[in-house]
Amino acid sequence: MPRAKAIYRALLHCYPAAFRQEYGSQMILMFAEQLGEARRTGSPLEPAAVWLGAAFDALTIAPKEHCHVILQDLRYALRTMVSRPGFTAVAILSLALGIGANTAIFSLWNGVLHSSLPGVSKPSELVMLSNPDEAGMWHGDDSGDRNWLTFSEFEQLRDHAGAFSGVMASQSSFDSWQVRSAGGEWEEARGRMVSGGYFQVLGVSPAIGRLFTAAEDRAESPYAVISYNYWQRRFAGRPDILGQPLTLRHTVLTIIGVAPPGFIGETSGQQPDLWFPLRIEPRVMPRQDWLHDQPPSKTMWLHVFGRLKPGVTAEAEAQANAIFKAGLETFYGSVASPEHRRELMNQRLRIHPAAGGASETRHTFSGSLTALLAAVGVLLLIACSNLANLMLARGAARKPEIALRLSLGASRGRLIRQLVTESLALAAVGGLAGLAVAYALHGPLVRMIAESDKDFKLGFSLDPLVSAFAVATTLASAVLFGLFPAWQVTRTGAGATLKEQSRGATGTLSQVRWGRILVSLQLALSLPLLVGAGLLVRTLHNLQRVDLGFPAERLLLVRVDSREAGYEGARRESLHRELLGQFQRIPGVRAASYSELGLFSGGESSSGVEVEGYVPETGKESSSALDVLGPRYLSTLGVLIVPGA
Amino acid sequence: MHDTKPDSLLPLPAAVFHILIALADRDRHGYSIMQDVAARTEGKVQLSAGTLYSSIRRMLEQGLIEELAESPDPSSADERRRYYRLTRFGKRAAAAEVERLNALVRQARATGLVPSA
Repeated sequence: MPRAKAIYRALLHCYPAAFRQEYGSQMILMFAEQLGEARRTGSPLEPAAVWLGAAFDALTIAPKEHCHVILQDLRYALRTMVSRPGFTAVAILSLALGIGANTAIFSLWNGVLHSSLPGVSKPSELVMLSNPDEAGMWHGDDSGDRNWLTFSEFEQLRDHAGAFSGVMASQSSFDSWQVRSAGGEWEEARGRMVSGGYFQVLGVSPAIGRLFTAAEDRAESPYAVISYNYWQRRFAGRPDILGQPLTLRHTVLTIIGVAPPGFIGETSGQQPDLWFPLRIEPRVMPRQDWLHDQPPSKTMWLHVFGRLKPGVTAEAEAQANAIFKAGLETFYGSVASPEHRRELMNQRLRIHPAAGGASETRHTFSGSLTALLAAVGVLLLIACSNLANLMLARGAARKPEIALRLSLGASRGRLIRQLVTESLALAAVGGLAGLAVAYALHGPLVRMIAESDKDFKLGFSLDPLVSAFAVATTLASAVLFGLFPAWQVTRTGAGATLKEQSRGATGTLSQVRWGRILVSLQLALSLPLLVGAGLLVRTLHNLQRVDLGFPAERLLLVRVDSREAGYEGARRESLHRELLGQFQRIPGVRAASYSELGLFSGGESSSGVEVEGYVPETGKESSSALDVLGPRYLSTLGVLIVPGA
Repeated sequence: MHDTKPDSLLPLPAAVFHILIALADRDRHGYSIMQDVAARTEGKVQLSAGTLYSSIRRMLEQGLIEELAESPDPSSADERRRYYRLTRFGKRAAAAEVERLNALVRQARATGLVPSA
């Protein structure tokens, strides 16, 4: 029997400590008598039934008792919160700001750096054969790791790379196009060209109509697939949109389908309105054939994605490079000198995991978002340390109440549990308010990123990971600011506290010491943040005063995309001349000029140059960055020419 | 005087009602309550220690029963036992529960669900 009692006593630990202390001995007595009686029947089933009943109680009654204690503590916590509105308001506000800032930054950090492409089937199987961090177009030659691929390189990989269940390509840059639907005005739509297998490789089914197929790679198919958002926003979700014409520049496309809701394509942070086939590139961009290359120049502009076959990993890169190199051999074989050829052959593809898709933003903001997340983490620590100090001070004021409860027989553990429940209740309300703060902060944060990447869009979504982060942050805050003061406040004995109270003391030496330590901790955490913020302000101030090489005051910049508007050749030059004349005639304008790339556009252009008497050692040295300028460009900017005129 | 009305506690959980009945004729300790319930129900209702003391905890809070400061039986060999007594409020609650059950039985008979006695 002593052994059975010991086992039952251990089972009683499933119950709350207070319940165990109050009724544990009675329950052991009763259990021992029940078991003795069962044993006396002589049947082995009777004692087994008593044990089963005890185990069943531990599984059903014990959780109910825990719920009872938690509800009791919560009711008490809410009463305490209401009775001290000032303290409650300060605590909730601090926590809301701390948890809200952390959740907002984490949501952005997760959305930009770690989330998978929405609406894409099994994104972990996707890889990229181009550089996910770069977008653009390069015409000429290249060396080293390739950023983008040409159309024919994509075709070779699509047709011969057996390691992939499918290979597709998309225009790496994200462009704005002039479009006009039937009976409508010219308007702007964001879209990109994609290969026929694009939707199939991403594992996407249409909302209505159909998506592109391999047929779109074989012949010029003037079709367009529009996004679900664009369909709702521009066409009010009309089902008769299928078969409708959509004029893009001078090409009439037929809308054949609508992508499913939530699908944004292969690039994270961008939300295209439409997709159209790569094969019609020369038609929508006359005199710019990016599909056919003339040796030795290549037009590299495509991101290429592959979906790995099950079990294939390492061999995919080797296989893709073998196909790629064979293509280079054929392309450069007849034109280049052996030396130049060797250099041109020094190009390779790298395979990148592409569950999160391509993203220039990810590369640009990876460091700063992580640093920002760390900074707001420290901010929350400061808030928690501040609250812990307040709790400690409030604990000193509650000493008589705590001492009375200790002297009435409440255990220290029970009081700590109750004080931590109060902290949890505060943190829960702070956490809920924090979600509202996170939602409010999300817009400005996205706009901050969009200042560097105008196409960047990211909605606030409380997905499971962000929700788990918010809950974990709330719980961690409650433990950080609640547990230590609760432990400290209940530390001294009831008798000693009551004596101190009779002397009029409001806090023990130990509490004063811990209060000082917490203040030091706050200072230690605040100082680096303050210094960091100061340096940031100083850097921004310096950036505004950086010497650009020309006086930026009284200089105005206007961007005109005449090609996008359909102007080509002589018409385009005539438009530039006419615009320039009109600008010059505006009263107060001293000078006006133009350039192809413009200032701070991010665009880059280069071409091979030959300098008389200079023999370049390598092909690279013969190419030079350039911009095409209008008349009196440098003098208009105020740039001084050192030699020459 | 008790603030809560007995009706607000209805329907009483089966274990609570059994405990009230067990305490109606005399004050009892936990094991005695369990034995009485088992005897009256011919072994059909066996209160486990967990169910019994969880119910006793709630009944004490609701004022249905009270704990005795001393054992009513000074000759009892076991002083560790704690005894419980039905309060006036407990009696009113039990009466209200009986009335509720009676009304239910009357309705069942009136509709012909069960034959009249």
